[in-house]
Amino acid sequence: MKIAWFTPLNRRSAIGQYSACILEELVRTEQVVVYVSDTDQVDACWPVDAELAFLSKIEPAQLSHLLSGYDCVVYNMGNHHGYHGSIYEASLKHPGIVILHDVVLQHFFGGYFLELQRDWDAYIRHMAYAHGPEGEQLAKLIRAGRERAVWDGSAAVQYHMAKLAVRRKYGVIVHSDFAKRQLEPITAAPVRKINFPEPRMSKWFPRRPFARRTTPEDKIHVLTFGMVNRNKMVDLVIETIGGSELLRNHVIYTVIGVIEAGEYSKTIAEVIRKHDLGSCVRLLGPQPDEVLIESLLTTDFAVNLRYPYLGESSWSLLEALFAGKPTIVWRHGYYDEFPDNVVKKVASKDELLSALTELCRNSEARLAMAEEAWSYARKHFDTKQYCRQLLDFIECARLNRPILDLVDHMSDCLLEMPANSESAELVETLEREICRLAAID
Amino acid sequence: MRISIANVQAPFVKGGAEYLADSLAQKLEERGHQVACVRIPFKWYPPQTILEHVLACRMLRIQSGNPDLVIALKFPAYVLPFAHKKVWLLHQFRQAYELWGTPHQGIPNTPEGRRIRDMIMQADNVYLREAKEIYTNSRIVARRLQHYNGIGVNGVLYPPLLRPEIYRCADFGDYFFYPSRLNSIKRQALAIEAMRFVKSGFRLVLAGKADQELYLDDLRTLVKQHKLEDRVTLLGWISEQEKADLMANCYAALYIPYDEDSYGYVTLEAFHSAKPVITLSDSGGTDEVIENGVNGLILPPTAEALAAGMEELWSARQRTVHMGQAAQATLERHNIRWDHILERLVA
Amino acid sequence: MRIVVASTYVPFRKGGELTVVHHLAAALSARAYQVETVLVPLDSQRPAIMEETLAIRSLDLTESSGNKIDLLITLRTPAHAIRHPNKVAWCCQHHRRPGFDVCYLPEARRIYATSKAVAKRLKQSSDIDVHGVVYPCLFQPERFHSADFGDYFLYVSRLYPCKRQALAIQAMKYVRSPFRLVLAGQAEPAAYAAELQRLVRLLDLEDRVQLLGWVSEGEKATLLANACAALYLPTDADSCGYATLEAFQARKPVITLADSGGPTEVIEDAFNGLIVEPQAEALAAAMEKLWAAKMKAALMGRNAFDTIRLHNIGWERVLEALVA
Repeated sequence: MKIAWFTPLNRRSAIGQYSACILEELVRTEQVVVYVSDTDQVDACWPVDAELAFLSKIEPAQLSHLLSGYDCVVYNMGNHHGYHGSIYEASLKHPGIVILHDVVLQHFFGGYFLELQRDWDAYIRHMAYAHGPEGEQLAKLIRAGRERAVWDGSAAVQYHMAKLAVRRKYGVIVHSDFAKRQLEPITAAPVRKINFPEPRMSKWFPRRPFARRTTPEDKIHVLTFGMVNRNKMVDLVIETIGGSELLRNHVIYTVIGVIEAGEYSKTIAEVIRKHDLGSCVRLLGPQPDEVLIESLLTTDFAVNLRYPYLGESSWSLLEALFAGKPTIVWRHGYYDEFPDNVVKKVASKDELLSALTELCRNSEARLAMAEEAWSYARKHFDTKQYCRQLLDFIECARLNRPILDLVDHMSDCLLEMPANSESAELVETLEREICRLAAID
Repeated sequence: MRISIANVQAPFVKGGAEYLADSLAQKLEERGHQVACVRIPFKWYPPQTILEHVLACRMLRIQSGNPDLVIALKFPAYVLPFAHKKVWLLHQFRQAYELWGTPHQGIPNTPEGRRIRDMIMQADNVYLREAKEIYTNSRIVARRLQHYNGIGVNGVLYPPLLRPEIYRCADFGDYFFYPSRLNSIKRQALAIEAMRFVKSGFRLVLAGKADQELYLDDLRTLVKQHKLEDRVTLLGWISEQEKADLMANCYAALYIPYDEDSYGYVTLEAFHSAKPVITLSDSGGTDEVIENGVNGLILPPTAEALAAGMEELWSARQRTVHMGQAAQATLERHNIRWDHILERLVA
Repeated sequence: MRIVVASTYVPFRKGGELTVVHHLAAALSARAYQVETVLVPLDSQRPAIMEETLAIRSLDLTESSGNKIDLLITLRTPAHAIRHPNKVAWCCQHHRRPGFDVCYLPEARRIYATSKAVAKRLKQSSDIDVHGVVYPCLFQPERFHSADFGDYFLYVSRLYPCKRQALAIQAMKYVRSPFRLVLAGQAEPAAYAAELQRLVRLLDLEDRVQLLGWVSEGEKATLLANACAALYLPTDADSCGYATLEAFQARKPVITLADSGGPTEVIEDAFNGLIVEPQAEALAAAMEKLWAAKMKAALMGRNAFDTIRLHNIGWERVLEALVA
C-alpha cells in the first residue's frame, strides 16, 4: 500500500517519537511518505527510513494532487496547534484516517482559531458545530471575557473538540477505550483502539526487570517525568511526602521534564519550601535522553498522575512499564484500563499517601509489580502488532470510504445551496437512498 | 399512452442502445403513443462517480410530463423511481459483473473498488426489483441477472430490425456477405484468413465503417499479402438499402464476433433475407438463435474451420436454401417482431 | 471542439423550451462544432427543485468516454448547476424565484441573459452581474417573409392565461372595422382552448375570431406573411418571445402591452409596433389604428425588420458570445 503519513517529527514531539517507532516497522512492508508538519529541517527530526516531505514547502493545490496518488492518508492529530495546524488543514480537504492522540483538543482549536487565524467567529462557529447552542453560547461568553477559556479548566473534556478532528475521516484510531467511547457517538466512521507501539527507549532497557532489594535504611527513589503540567499533581505528591514522617525521611523524589511556566512553577517551589523538602525533592528540568533513561532504570517506582483527566493516553506511563517500574496512577480513564496488579491506582489524597507508603516500605510488593508491569507491557504493546492492526483497520475503513465520500459530496452540495423548508425532506430522502445503496437497514 | 423511454447518454458516443431506444420510440409512435426519449448523462470513471450518478438518478423526476409508463433500458437509468416502470434490460454495468476479474474490470481491485462494486450490485438488487416487469434482450443477460442478483425475468424480448421490410431473398449468388463495423472484435481479419484455404470459386464481401483507420489498413494489407484481391471485396460504409440488396443476393452471411452478448443485427438481416448464418463457437450470443445445421453453422474459431464451413455450404445449394427458410422461420419462433415487443411492454 | 448544450425540459411538451436548445445545437453544428444536447427532465408540477438541483449537480459532464468536453453551455435553471471548468450560462429564466443553482452561476466563465429583464432580476435577487444580454434568435429566419397586409391580426403563442389571448378576444368586441383575429397555438392545459372558444361564443364573435390550434412552421410563416400585424401580449415575460422575432422577420409590426415585459425591450411605440395599456379598448384602438393606415403599418414593418439588425439579434452574435 502507498501511505501518506502526516505527523510532527521534531525530537521534542512525543507524537514524533510515536511515529518514528511505527514507521520503522511499517516501511518494511508498505511504501510510506512522511509529511512533516512541524519543521523543515531533516536534522531536527527523529530518524526514519522513509522519504520525507515538508508541508511548509508544499502548495495546498499541489498537495491535493499529490495525495490523490496514495491508497491511504493517515493524519496524526494532537493538541499542539503549532505542530498540527497544517495537518488539520490538509485533512479537511483530503479524506483519510486520523490517529487521535488527544480527545479534547481545546488547546489545538483555541490556538488555531484565536492565535493563528485570529478569527473569533470561526471559533464560535466550530464550538457550535461541536456542541450546539450551548457550545456557541459558551464561546461567546469566553470572547466577552465573562467565562474562563475552556482549555484551562475541567470543562475541557465536556466540551471536547474531537468532532472537528474527525470530519472527512473514514477511520479513527485511538489508544484507549475511554477515547473510543467518546468518539463512537460523534462519527459515522469506524473507531478502533490500537495499543501504543513499543517505545524507543526500551531498546536501552536490560533484558530483565531490575528491581532493587532494599534495606530499611535505604533511600527510596521515586520519579515523575514528562511534561509537568498542573494536572500532573506534582505539588500534591510533594505535599503528601511533606506530610508523612516516613516519606520525608526515606524518599528522594526526582522530577524530570519541563515544568509549566508561571503559576505552577511558583506553586511547586512554594510547597517545597513550606515542607522544607529541599533535600529530598530534586527538580531537574528537561534532561537529555541518557539522563532520563538512567533515572528511570535506577528509580524504585514512578508516579504518573493526571487530574483532571483530559482524555489522553500516556506515553510516559508506557516507558515506565517497559522499564519494569511500579507506577502510581489516578484511577480513571486510560489509567484505569490497566490491571490492578500492573499499576497502583489511587483516587484520593489518602489513597495516594498509602500507596506511596506501601511502595516505599514493601520491596516485595515493588518486585511483584515490577514483574507484572514488565510482562504486561511486552505482551500488549508491540510495534509489529500495532502495524498489523493498523493495516487491518485501514483495509476495513477503506471499505467505507465510498459511502462516506458520497455523503460528503451530497452534504457539500447542500451547504452550497441556500437551505430552506425543503431541506429536511431532502436530507431524509438522501439518507434513505444512501442506506439502501450501502445495504444498511 | 404517454411513454418515457429512460436511457443513458454518453455524449458523443452512439451505440446499439441509442439505436434501440430510437427504434422503440418510432414503433410506439406508429402505434399512436406519445413517446419521449429521456437520456441521462452517465460517466463511470473514476468509480466513485458511478455512485453519484446512481444517487442522482434516484432524485431526478422521470414522472415529468406525466408519462403513463416508463421503459428503462440500461444502468443507471433503470434506478429512476417510477411506479409503473418496466425494464427492457440491455445490460447491467458489466464491469461489476462478468467483467470483474478480467482485464476489462475498469474498477480497481482495492477495498474502495470492491465496496463500489458491492453498491452497484446492491443498487441493481433493490432498484431493478422496483420494476413491474423485467425483460432482457437475450437469454444470456437474463441468466446473468438470475445468477448475480437472484432476479427472474418476465421474458426475453429480442430486438428486431427497425425496417425489416427492405430485407428479402432474391438469389443465392457467388459471395458470402459480412456487413458490420470493422474492428478486431468483429474479426473480419479471420474471415479474410479463411479465404486463403478456399478452393471453390466463391468470394467474400465485407462492408462497414472501420472504428479505427488502422484496422482498415490492416485488412487491406492482409488481402494483398495473400493475393486475395479478386476473392475479397472491402466495400467500406454502405447504406441500409445497399446492405439489404447485397444480403438479398448473397449465398450466405457471416457473423463471427468475439464473445458478444447479442446475436447482432447482421444475424437478423440475414434471417429476414432467408439466408443461413455462419458463426463461431466463441461468438457469444449468436448461439441463442443459430442452430448448427438448421439455420446456419457454428464452427470452431479457426480460419481453416471457417473455410471448410463455407465450402460445405457452397457444395450443397439445396440444403443452403432450406437452411435459409429455416432461418426465416427462426424469427417467428423467437417472436422477433415489434408487435410482440410492444404487446409485452405496453400491455 | 466538443460542445454540450444542456438544459432542463418537460417531456411531451411541444416547442417552447426545447426550441432554443435544438436551434442552438443546429447553429453550432452548422459551424462545424461537434455538438451534443443534454436534456434533463424537470418536474413542473412538484416543485422539488432543490432535489433536482442536487441531482444535476452530481452529473459529470467534463468528459465522455475519454473525450474531453471542451465547452458546456447551460440554458435553463437548474441546469446551471452542472459542473464544468468551461461553462457559459445563457440564462433564460422562467421562474419567478431564483433557482437553487444561482449559487453555481458564478462558476461560469461568462453569464448572459436573454433579456434586460432577466439580467435585472439576476442582479436584484442574487447580486449576479451578467456579461451581456444576448437575445434569442430565429432558426432559418429566411422562412419568414411579407406578402400582404391582409385582413387579420395574428397572435401565435401557446394558449395560456398569462399570454392573455382572452384579452385579445375581448378587444375584438370594441372593434368596428371589418378585420379578424386569428389565434394559433396549442392550449395548455388542453381544456383552455374550449374555454376560449366559449368566450368567443359568449361575445358573439364567431365570425371575427378564429382559434386554429397548433399550426406547423410552414403554416405559421404563411399566416404571418399575410397578416396586417402581429400581437404578443404576455404578462411580464422574461424574453421578447419568438412571436415578436418572427413578426419582425416577416416585416410586420407588433402590438404589445405596457406590462408585457420582455417584448417592450425591442418594441418601440410607433416605430416598429405599438405599446398600449393592458385593456381591451386600448388594444382595440391600437388594432384599428394600424388597420386604418396600412402604409404606416408597412413602414413600421420595415422598421421591425431593421430592429433585428439594430439589436444585433442573430446567430453570429449568439455564437460569438457563447463560444468565443
